[in-house]
Amino acid sequence: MLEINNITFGYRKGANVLEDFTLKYEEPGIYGLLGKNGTGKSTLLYLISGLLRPSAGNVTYNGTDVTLRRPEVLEDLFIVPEEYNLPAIPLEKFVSRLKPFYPRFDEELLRRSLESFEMPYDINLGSLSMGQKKKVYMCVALATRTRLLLMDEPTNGLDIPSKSQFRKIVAGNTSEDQTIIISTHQVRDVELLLDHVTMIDKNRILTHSKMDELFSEDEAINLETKFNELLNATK
Amino acid sequence: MENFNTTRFANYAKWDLTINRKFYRNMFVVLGIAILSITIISFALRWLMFAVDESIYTSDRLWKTSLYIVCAVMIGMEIMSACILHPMRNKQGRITHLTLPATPSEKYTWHVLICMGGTIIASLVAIAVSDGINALLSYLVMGPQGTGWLFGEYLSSNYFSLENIMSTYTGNLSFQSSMTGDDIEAIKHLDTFFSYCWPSIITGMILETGFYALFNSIIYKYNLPISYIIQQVISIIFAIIIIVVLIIIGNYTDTTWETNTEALTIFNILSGWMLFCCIFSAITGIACWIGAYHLYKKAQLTNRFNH
Repeated sequence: MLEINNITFGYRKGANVLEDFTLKYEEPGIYGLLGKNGTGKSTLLYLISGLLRPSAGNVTYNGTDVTLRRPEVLEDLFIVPEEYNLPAIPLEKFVSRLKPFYPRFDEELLRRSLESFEMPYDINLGSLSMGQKKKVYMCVALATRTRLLLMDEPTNGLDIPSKSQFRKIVAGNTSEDQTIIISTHQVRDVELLLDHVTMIDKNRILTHSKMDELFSEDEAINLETKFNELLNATK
Repeated sequence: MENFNTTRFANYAKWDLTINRKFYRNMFVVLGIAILSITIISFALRWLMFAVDESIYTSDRLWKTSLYIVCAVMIGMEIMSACILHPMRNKQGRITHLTLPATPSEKYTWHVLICMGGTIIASLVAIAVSDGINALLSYLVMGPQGTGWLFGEYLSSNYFSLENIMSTYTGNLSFQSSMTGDDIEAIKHLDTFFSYCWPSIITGMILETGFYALFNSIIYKYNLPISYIIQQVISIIFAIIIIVVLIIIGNYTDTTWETNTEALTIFNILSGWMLFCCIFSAITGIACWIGAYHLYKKAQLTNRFNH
């Protein structure tokens, strides 16, 4: 489905963030993309969404190069960046303008998600705080029901109750054909939500496996410890 | 142009008009106010002149006013061509814009249409309103004698006023003698020269807007002042080249302007020069627009010039 084939990318010449990097997302589910700061997690999400062009290799979604920005690929892909601004217009209007671009857009799901975050539907986006904007944008992202949903540090800026709400909303509203890739360094916020985990460090893939393969049934899930173990083992 | 879908294009237009409503409103309001201000200031000046001497014919001033308005519209179009990719000014804007499901051709066509076509429509509306206000105020304050339509005057006096402008530039050259003299060739040369005025304005605008659009595809933020500075540097270099060419080839001295025969030769050269400029501007302008679109298609979230 999503293939990252031998990509090389750097923001400056001679300082590649990713080099000959290969990764495949073959089955749907919720994926965690974990790694230390500056290891290229966000860069990888931007490369997957076609926002950046690798200097070598390519990223394909269902066989199509994402850098071509074909509408049939883009209507099946949504990215929630770490920071964003929303226009100062009513949410209803924002949704009515966005909906035609996403054939599977589910307005009912949007209302439900907003309710879970204890937010009304009739709000003006210009009057929201940063945290509220983040909640609204994540709800909109889920409501697009794109088969590939990318989230960059989704829990940053959320208060403690909202973090648990976020987990519930994502877990409860993900369909079987959806792939959600969550990039984060706050592993505790999402570790119970994930089906798969990808850990990267300095261009190396420490692991790209299912959670149940990574942790035995009687083992407590602790991605932080596992990350450090894998990091030390590969040093 | 790849896979252009009109429904998606319409959806994108609606999206852009909703999300960037403030931007378009501000730009078109500023342009309208500029046009209205020129008209009102001009009216006030004509009123003052009229108060001093009622016999002063106001047509010349009306024509000059309309020329200023044309300049304001041209500056407006240049500014808007530098804002074609305004949704991509910041990183968040680029993420939303580039990942919205529409083809680059649909998005770019819409932005060219709204920025260029929108400016023309906004200008025409502002001109119509301003001209109406001008005519009404003129009639109320100065009576039928002082009333005139800005663009009526512009269209009727265009030819001869351009002649006046050129005679100012050419110093000792007497256009009157060229026009009324026996030498039919003189009129022929002038006709050829003036027939290039509108094509040179239009092709010049294609080049200017293309240049600004090209720079907007390279630098998304602060591109307007940067491209303006670069444009001025290029203009100075061109001007120096032209002066050098004229000095070397044309034996350009003050004395050559003093006789009518020399003036005809100069207009003959100028006509050829203007034809060359028109063709050059059109080709370079179209190349700039194609380059701008090509760079837009390859746009990335961050690059050397945009962070």
